[in-house]
Amino acid sequence: MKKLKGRKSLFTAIVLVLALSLQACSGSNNGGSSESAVSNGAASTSSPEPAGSTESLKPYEVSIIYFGAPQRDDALVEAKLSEYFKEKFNATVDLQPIASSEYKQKTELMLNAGEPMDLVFTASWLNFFGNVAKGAFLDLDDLLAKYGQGISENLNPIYLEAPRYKGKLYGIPTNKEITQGKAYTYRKDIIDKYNIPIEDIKTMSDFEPWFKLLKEKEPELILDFIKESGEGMMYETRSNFRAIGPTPNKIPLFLYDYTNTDNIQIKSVVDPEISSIAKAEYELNRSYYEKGYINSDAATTTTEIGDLRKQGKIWMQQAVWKPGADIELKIASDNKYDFVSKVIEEPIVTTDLAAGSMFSISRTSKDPERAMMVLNALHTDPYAVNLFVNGIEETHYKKISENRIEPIADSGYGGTALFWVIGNQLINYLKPGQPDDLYSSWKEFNDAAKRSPLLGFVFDESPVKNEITQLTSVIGEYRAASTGAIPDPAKMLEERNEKLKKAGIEKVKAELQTQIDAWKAEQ
Amino acid sequence: MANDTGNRIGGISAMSNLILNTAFVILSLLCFLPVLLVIIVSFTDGQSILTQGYSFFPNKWSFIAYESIFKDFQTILSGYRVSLTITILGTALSVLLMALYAYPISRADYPFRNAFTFFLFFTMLFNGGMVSRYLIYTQVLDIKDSYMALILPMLIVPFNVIIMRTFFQTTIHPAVIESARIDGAGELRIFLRIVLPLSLPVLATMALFSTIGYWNDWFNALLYISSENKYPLQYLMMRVLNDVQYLRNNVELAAQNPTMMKNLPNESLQMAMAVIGMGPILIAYPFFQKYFVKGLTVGAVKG
Repeated sequence: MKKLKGRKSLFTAIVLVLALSLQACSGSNNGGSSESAVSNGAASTSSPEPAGSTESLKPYEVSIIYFGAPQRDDALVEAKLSEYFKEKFNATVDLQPIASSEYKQKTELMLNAGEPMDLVFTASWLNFFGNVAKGAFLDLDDLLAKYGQGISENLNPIYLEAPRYKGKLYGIPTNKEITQGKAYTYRKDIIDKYNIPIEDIKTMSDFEPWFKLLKEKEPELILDFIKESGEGMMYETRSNFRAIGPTPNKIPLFLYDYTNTDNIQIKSVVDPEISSIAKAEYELNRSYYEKGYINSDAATTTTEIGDLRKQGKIWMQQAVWKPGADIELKIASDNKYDFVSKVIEEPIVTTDLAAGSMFSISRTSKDPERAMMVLNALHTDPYAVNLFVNGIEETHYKKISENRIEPIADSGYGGTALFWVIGNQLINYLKPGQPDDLYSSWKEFNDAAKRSPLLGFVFDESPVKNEITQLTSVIGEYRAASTGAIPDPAKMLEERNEKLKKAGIEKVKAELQTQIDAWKAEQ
Repeated sequence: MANDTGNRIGGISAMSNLILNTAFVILSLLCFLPVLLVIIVSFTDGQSILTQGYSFFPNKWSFIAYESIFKDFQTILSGYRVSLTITILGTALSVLLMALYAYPISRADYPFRNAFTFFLFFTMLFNGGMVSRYLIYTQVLDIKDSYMALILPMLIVPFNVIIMRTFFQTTIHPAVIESARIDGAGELRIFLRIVLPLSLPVLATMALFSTIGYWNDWFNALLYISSENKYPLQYLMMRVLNDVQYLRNNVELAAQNPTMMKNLPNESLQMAMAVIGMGPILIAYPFFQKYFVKGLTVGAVKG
């Protein structure tokens, strides 16, 4: 009897708890279901069968997951874009911006969970090839031929060679500068003041007399700012070797001679030929460090070069270069200084660079055709892409001329850099400070770009994962050796190379060579 | 004051008193100064942080960080609203549910005690991982982008349930429960009128843990929330800080787009956000304080 009573009230308690939690659920859902349909909401309303030909397109919402911080007026722009696309091909859009720091984690989860999505921003540095191998994206060759003719017309054909896996296309690159050269970029006022012949400075060793002069005359300057690694452009300035394969902590481990197109031989950093380059550069840095040309905290500093540039402490830096880069730097340093560059390296197009910013279509898309139509519009239609990137005229920017705008400060849209993310940057409006011929010079730059003989090759790291982990830890341990802040860098280099050999660098090299040969044979 | 302590029995000498007091003053300063520094840096001009570093006596004061935060005060306000809502709701629910779980498994006469304890304990040792949890939340329970997704994950903390169970076992004498039953109370009445009032310290502890947990949680928002008006305050701040961090760590991306670096919030803004996020939790703490000091001075069983 007593027991029964106990059971009964226990039952009551359970029921109570359940009731309470249910109430909590429904309460929060009522409070929570406001505007902005989530992807699952969108999925339930849209038609499950893909649209047929172009005759009668059913209404469909294309979700766009892209790399950028959410902005206050996202909803306004979304509504405008939807209105526009609805007239064109009966599609609305659901903009899903994800902030840069969480983009990778969040999209990986969404892809793994098989959430319904259409257009997803991806890139070589966002594990694009890994996701393709997992089957996260649709193969785009046919879709591009059918619904993306505008894309193929606009895009430099080299672009479409990179995002391929086993010969099939899985991503549509954003149309912008296809590659970047490396350059020494100088502050113009210093160059003019001391008549420094930047044409004649081709390697770090050419700086010696100028460092000496400036040390005396401009004690405020950090002559050679080094952070984390002092390798800089040593391979580009002293050889034809370029990096390939895994580069832990941005230190290249394997290189190839890019001028030798027929017979690609991989060399690793323990190879004497490569090692001698490194040794020379490390020792040079050490001597510069001892003379006080390099910042004394080179091994440990976390200071941002951009901050130092704004303070006027940087007169020279090793930078990536494309047409307009000097102006970008000027804008980034609050227009305080003019910059001038001497391009050191012939820009070459590599897989990673050409696949540096793309949209793919998720395999969970319920209407890939429509997704491709939207993407096509973003590549060809100046109204659509500028609405997406810069917002609404008169609300977020003022038009100055046909293709030039003045953004309105704190307007709630346009503060996030989307120009390099969305569609086609070459039909974006120009912003203050950008030269009129920016895009035509980019086109020339793209057309003139030399292809890497390995364009389209992607290294599959899985067979040598363990070795790469070990190599990475060795690299991390000796990272500061190149900065000049550590005594006897040559000895450090030898020690490092010994450890790299022990960690299996030769095995990784052999694997890389095997994969390249196999890839070559397929071409 | 100090001189009577020395004369009392069991008192301490003035010297030891001084030493002890000094030690505690130093300890308190160690806790307090970093917070003060954060507040000062949040009022420091960005340029002087660059040139001078963090300092208690900055060269130049400025309100610019707070100005730029409150320019967007709608967002901050909605962040506050969400954070407070989930903290209050979540804490209340969480403590209630954990108590309801912990009490039965603390009772020796409950037949399925071991099974339920194991069921709870097992999740402490093994969990399905992020992807499976994400799948369950988004596809089975379908609570993506709802407040439930912020409340549910931290509702039951196995470790805390076990602490509660132990507390019930050690402080609630079975005789108390027995006498209540003899007086005609049912299980529910015993739990609500006898056990819970006797367990205020542990309930307060758990409530504090929960409050801090909910208030500081940003990770669940990162995973499950996608509409701007449902983001808790901590997540909004985390996002700003993370984005700065991300750009600093991905030098190449930044080098390709110097314009991205241009609008980076400087450190005074980050500190200002920390100051704004600290407020409520500092205010909440004193409310729990009294329960910890009191401890338990209850004897309900005649020896």
